[in-house]
Amino acid sequence: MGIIVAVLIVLVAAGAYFATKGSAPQEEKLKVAVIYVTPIEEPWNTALHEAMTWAEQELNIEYVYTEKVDTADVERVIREYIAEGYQVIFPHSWGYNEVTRKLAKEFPNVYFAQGSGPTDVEWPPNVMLYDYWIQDAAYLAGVLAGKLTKTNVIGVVTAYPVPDVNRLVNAFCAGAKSVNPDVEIKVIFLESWFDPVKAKEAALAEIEAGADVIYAERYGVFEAFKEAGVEGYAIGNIVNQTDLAPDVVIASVTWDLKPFVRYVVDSVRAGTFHGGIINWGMKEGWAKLVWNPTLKKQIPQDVVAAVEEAQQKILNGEIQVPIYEDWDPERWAGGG
Amino acid sequence: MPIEMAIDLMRAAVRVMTPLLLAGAGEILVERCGILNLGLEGIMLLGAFSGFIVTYYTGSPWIGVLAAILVGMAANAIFGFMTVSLALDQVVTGLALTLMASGATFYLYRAIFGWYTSPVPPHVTTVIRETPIPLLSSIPVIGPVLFNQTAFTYAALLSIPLLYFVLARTRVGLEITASGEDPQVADYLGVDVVRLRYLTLLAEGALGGVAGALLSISQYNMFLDNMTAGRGFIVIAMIILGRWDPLKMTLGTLLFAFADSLQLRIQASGLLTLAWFPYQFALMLPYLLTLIALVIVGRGVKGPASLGKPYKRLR
Repeated sequence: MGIIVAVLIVLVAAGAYFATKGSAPQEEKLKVAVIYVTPIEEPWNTALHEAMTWAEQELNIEYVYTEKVDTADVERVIREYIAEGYQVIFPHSWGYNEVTRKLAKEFPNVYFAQGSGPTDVEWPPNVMLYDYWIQDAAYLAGVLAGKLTKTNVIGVVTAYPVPDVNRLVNAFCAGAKSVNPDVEIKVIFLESWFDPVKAKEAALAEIEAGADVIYAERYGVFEAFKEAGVEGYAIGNIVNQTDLAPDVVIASVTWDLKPFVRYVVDSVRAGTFHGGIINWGMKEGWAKLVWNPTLKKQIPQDVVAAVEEAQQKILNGEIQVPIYEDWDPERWAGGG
Repeated sequence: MPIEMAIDLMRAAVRVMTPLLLAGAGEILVERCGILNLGLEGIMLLGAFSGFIVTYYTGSPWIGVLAAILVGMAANAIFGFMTVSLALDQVVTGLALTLMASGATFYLYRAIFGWYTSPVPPHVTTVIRETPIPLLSSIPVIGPVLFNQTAFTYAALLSIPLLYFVLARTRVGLEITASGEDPQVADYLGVDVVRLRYLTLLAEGALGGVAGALLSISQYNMFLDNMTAGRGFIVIAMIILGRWDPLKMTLGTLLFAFADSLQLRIQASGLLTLAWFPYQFALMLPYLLTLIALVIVGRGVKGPASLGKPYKRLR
């Protein structure tokens, strides 16, 4: 009896040993460093941070980061990471792009993934340029808003009319007009990246002007619906913001960086890293419209069907979401 | 409908004005006493942070407000120690206070919350909402605009006439003004300049702390890095342009808040689809209008003669 138990223990232990050995190859951890210009709470950063913490578990990487790094400081921070042996650097802000190009030339054996930057300059071969090309999801949000509105007025609260923001706002407008040509779209620019109180005031102004669905490119909009006591919906941006206001956020235009992080990590490990511009879309699992499951059940189901139909058409190529990098208010004028 | 839009616009203006007015009342008091406190932005940020944290853990925004008051007063007590007792440079100390607040609030935020796995930042579920005043709030137009606001707004609106009265009609008001004009002479005449400067600073700390807290636990439900977004400096500009007069400062902040609320509504109106009216013009309005108005009303008035000068008592 004792012998049988002993044999069983040995077998189980051996099994466990080989099982763990089989599932996790004893590969060295890839050292990845990310530099953020603002706190992680800003959705643009949250999206990458989430993907990185996921990769820590799933892809056997070591992830370190520094937040709130001023553009003037970024060179020092990157040099320190390189000196400490970090092989992959993600400078996650447009403002860092010049430093990235300079250091990428100086350190050809370090891999860089630069978060947004100009496309009309020359990038060294060890740099991938990525940006939130999530206009496919913003288009779906437009379809949702255009179909869902009862007042036929929808709104956008956004920061600055810079190219990457304009892509989303224009795609949202295009989506709304595609299902509801008469819909009136109110767009307010805050000229501020981080002023939630002002964003809330902007949303209140749109609600007073009749908007009942607002695409919240910035924080602040959800509170406005609660305060105004008006029935309406908001659409979150970049990360799933349902939990912030479960009665108001109908869906979020999200940017899922996990496939990209996997792509970077795999290509570094396989030695196939190619620089260049990464402009993935919905097909690559990069852009998603994530529903608030509770509210999704409560809205008219033909709205849900219209969004899902548009999603299918984007995925099979029937709909090409237009990309406009400028802001021309006359483009979406009319209606109402 | 146009009446309702006008009421909404005026309500928004009063809402936007409230934090500026509270902070402004405090800053006028210290500046009239001869102290230029560029740490106001930092005080507001500390107020926003401490109000948020305490509300987050106690669930009571009113305890949060109390915390913001105490933290604001404590920060200004330190500022007072540096500038009044040690007679250090007020501009440098004030800016240092603002920078310290900016760094410290974020550092503590990270230290307290770490990083949550949820993509949603920590937020409070109870915020301070409007308290309509019975009877008065049912007056047409004026009721919803002035008497259906938060307690902060009532406090701000009451603070200005009170401040005006104290400065213009009371002995302590004259002593404050005298300390700002010529602390040496005031001292000879038996005014305790040091004590007055500390007292006005404590009052400003309380008001500035409240002004900040209302951003994070009334007008919004989160603390975000540097969420005061320069409001403290706007207030100081208002005071200088309003020539240290509480009524002119109020006029300036009201005009600023009105134009800021108006420009958002201009943007929402669709007027901006006209090619000759870029949205940047709308965004410029609050600053432009306030500047013009205050330059006109504030002509020829001088500020406190000893503003910004440290006072060292001769022995």
